[in-house]
Amino acid sequence: MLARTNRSRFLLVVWVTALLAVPVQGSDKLQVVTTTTDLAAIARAVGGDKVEVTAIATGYEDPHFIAAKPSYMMAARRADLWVRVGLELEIGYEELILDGARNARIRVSTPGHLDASEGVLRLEVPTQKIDRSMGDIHPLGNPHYWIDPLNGRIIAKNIGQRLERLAPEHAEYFREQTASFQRELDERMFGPQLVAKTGGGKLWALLLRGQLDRILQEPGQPALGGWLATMRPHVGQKMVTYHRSWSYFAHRFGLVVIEELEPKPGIPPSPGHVADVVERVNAEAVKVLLMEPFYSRKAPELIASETGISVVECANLVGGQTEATDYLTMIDNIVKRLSTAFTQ
Amino acid sequence: MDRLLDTLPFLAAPFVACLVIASLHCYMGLHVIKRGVIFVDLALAQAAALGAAVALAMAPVVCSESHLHHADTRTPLVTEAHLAAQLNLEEDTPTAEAVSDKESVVSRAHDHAAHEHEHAYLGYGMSLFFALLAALLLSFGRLRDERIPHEAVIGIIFVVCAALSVLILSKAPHGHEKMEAMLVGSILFVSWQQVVAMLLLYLILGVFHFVVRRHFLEISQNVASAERTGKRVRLWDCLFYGSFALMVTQSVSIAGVFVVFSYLIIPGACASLFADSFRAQLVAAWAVAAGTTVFGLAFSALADMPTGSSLVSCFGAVLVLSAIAGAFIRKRGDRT
Repeated sequence: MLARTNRSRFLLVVWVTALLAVPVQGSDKLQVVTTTTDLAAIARAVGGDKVEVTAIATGYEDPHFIAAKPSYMMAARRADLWVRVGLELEIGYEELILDGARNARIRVSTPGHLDASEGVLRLEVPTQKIDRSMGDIHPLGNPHYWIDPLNGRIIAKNIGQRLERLAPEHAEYFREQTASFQRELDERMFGPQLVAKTGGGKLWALLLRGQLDRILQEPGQPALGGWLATMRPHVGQKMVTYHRSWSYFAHRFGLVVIEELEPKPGIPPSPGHVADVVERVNAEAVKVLLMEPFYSRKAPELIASETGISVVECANLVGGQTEATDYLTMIDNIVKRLSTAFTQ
Repeated sequence: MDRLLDTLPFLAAPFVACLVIASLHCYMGLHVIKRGVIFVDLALAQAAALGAAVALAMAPVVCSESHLHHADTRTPLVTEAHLAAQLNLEEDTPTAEAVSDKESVVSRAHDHAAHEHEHAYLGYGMSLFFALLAALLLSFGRLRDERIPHEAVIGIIFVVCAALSVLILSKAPHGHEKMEAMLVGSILFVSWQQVVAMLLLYLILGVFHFVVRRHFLEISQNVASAERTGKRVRLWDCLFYGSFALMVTQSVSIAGVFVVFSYLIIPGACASLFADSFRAQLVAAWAVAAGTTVFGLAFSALADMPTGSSLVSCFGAVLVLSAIAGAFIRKRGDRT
C-alpha cells in the first residue's frame, strides 16, 4: 500500500516537472508574436534570422474578430515580444489572450509589449464625445493606419528599436535590417533612382510638406517612379469603400472616399443606405468600389449591377490575397489593382 | 503529444469550467428530457442573449470626454509636419536615435477595458432579468387544457427573442459578430474568477435542488398524477424554470449557447440508453460528460480547433457511438 502511494506520488512529480519543463524549451531566437500578419511581415523583415515570428490572426479574416484557438495562448506563452496594432483594434481579444497566456514578459507596459502605433500618423481622431450610436468609432483614431507606407516605415522603426532593447547584442544587425527595409520601401514608393539621388527620408519629408513637385522640376532630377508615379494620374479620383479602412491609403495617394457601404463603421449595409450609395455613385460617376476580400460581396454586387461601378477586392493584410506575401507586395497589390481599375 | 503537453496549462481553467457546467446541467438535462421540453435551454439562453443586447443598447457611451482628454495627453497626436521634420533629420543619423525611446506604452486599452467592465455588470443583470422573465412565461405557458402545446411556447420565446436581438444588434457596431460569439462562446478564455463564481452559484442551486428533489422529480415524471395529488405545479414550475434561468445565464455567458445545450441534453440522452433509474442515469450522464470533456479539449488542443465547437462535435460523436453500443447490447440481451 505504501509502495503504491509512493509510486503515484513519483508519477505526479514526473508529470508536474514535465509540465513546467516544456515551455522553457525552444530555440535561442527571439520569439515575436504579432496580432496581424502585416506586423508579422514587418517584424520578419526587421528581425531577420535573429527572430521567429508568429501572427495570431490570418490575413483572410476580419482583424477586429478572431475565433479562440488554443495555439494563440501557446504562442503568447512562448513570446519574448508581443506586438499589437493598437488604437484599440484588438480590444476584443488582446486582453483575453494576454491574461490566458500568463506570460509576465509580455504584459502591457513591459519591454516585451509593443504598441506599433507609437508615433504613427493617425487620422480621424475624434474630437468630441463618442457613443455606440455612431458605430465602431475608435477613440484614439482610425486603427487601419498600417496601409499608409509612411506608417509602415514607422512600424519598422518601432519594432527595430524594441528588438534592439530586448537583444542589445544584435543591436547593429537590427539597425541595418530596419534601414534596408525602409530603403526598399522608399524605393518602391518613389522609384530607386530618385531615392539614390535624394535619399528616402528627405523625399518623405518633401512629400509631407507638399514640396515634392518643386524638387522633381529641378533640372537633372530623375523621374518619379514607384507607387507614387503609378497612382499619380489618379489623384482626386473618387471611390466608395466597404469599411472605413482605406482612409490612410486614400490620404497618402490623394484619392477621395466619398461614401462607405457600411452606414456607420462596423454596421452592415442597410437597404436605405445602399440606395443612397447607388444615387451618389450615379450622380458623381464613381468608378471604383474598394473592399477587403473577407466582406460579403452581396451588397457591392447589387450596387455594381445598378451603377456599373467596378468592385475591386484588395487585401490590406498580408496573406489576404495570394499576391500579398509580405508588407511591400501587399501595398504593391493594392496599387496595381486600383490603378488598373481606375484606368479602365 | 508535445503539443498536448504544451497546451495543458491553458486548458486547466476551461476543463474545470466544463466539469462545473456538467455537474448541474446533466442533472437538469435529465429533467428536461423527462418533461419533453428539450429546447427550453435554447429559449432561456436566447432570452439571456437578448438581455445582453439590450444592455449594449442601453449603455451607449463608449468614451466620455474626460477619457478622450486623458488619451490625448498621453499620446500626443503626430502631425505630418512633425513627421517631416523627423524624417529630414533621419538622413544625418541613419536610424532614429534622434527620436527618444519614450515608454509611452501606457495602458490605454485598459482604460477602455475598465469602461467595458462596468457594463459587464449591467449586461449580466439584464441577461438575468430577461431569462427570469422568460422562465415566468414558460411556467405559466403550461396551460392545463394544452390548447397551445408547451413546446410551441418554448419555440415562440426562442424565435421572438432571437429576432429582437437581431433588431437591436443591427444598430450596434459588429453586432453580427457579437451574436455569433454568443452562440459559439469562448470557453477557452474563461478565467479562474469566472469559474469560482459559477461554482458558488451552482453549489447554491445544487443544494436547493437536492433539498426539494422529490417534488421536481414527481412533476417531471408525471404532471397529471402530480396535479391530482394536489401539488401546486405552477409554483414548482416557477422555481424550476427560475433556477434553470439562473444556471443558463451563467453558463451561456462563459461557454456559449451550443456548448451549454450539448452539456444539458447529450449526456442525459446517452445515459437514458443504458440506465433506467434516475440515480443511475445521473451517474452515467456525469461520466459521459466528464469523458467527452477530456476528449473534446484534447482534440481542440491537438488539431488546434476552436474549443467550443470541438466539444460539441465530440458530444455528437459520443451520442452516435453510444446509440450503436446500446443497440448492440440490447440485441445480445435479446438473444440470451
